[in-house]
Amino acid sequence: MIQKIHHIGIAVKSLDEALRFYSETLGLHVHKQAVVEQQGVKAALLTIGQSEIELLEPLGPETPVGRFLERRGEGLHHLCFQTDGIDQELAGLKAKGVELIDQEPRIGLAGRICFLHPRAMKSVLVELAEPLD
Amino acid sequence: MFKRIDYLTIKTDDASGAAQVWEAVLGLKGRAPQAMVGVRSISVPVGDAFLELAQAEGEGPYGDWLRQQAEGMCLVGIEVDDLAGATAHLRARGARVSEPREGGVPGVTFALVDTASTHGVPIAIVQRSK
Repeated sequence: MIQKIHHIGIAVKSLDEALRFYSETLGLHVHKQAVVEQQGVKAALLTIGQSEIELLEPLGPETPVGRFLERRGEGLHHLCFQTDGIDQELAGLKAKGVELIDQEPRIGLAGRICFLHPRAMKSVLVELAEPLD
Repeated sequence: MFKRIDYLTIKTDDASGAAQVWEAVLGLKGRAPQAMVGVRSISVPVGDAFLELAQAEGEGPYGDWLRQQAEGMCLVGIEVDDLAGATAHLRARGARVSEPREGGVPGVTFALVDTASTHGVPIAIVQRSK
């Protein structure tokens, strides 16, 4: 079951520069920061109320976020919902024939995650996450 | 000071059709459509925030702005308790922020933060009257 917005993902050219606005200016706490090689990003999660903002700097131009930056520039990249059962959600989506990027959950900064294809959600890249902590 | 994500606006050419998709795929149910300042919108509550499925319709400043956006996510609303204080805080740190003004929804005032300050993200800081 979808519980809340877990985070909003923002593609940025430089994580350090983006943190100056989102952490120093807005005063948001950096909850996690890591390099996620599998997704080709250096990322940070910043807490805002019950949700988070995820800043994503690509590790290279040929990564998904790198290609997004090349096409569209910095800005809103994806929307992640928290679920208490990602396996059940994924099974339900497959049963409905929803177009998916991930057929199985994988580990991301937000926990066990999977992405739906933006074609399935009217041009919005949607992620589901079941936090591990 | 910046308390929570209040809403995320998603631009669509068909708010009702989009609401059907969000409900069918993720089980998120929209409220009744509303019309305001050139936009037809459907709110979809999720946790303590909501998605605003927004379709430009007719004349109005919001609709005019929305027409210029690509389909998909286009605006993040962040709630504050003190809009004047939050605006002054951001300006003191070099961010460009519009003058606070009344929104299309009664009891809501907001100011827009320039995307040059936010790394490309249109952000509205929003105060709701108690």
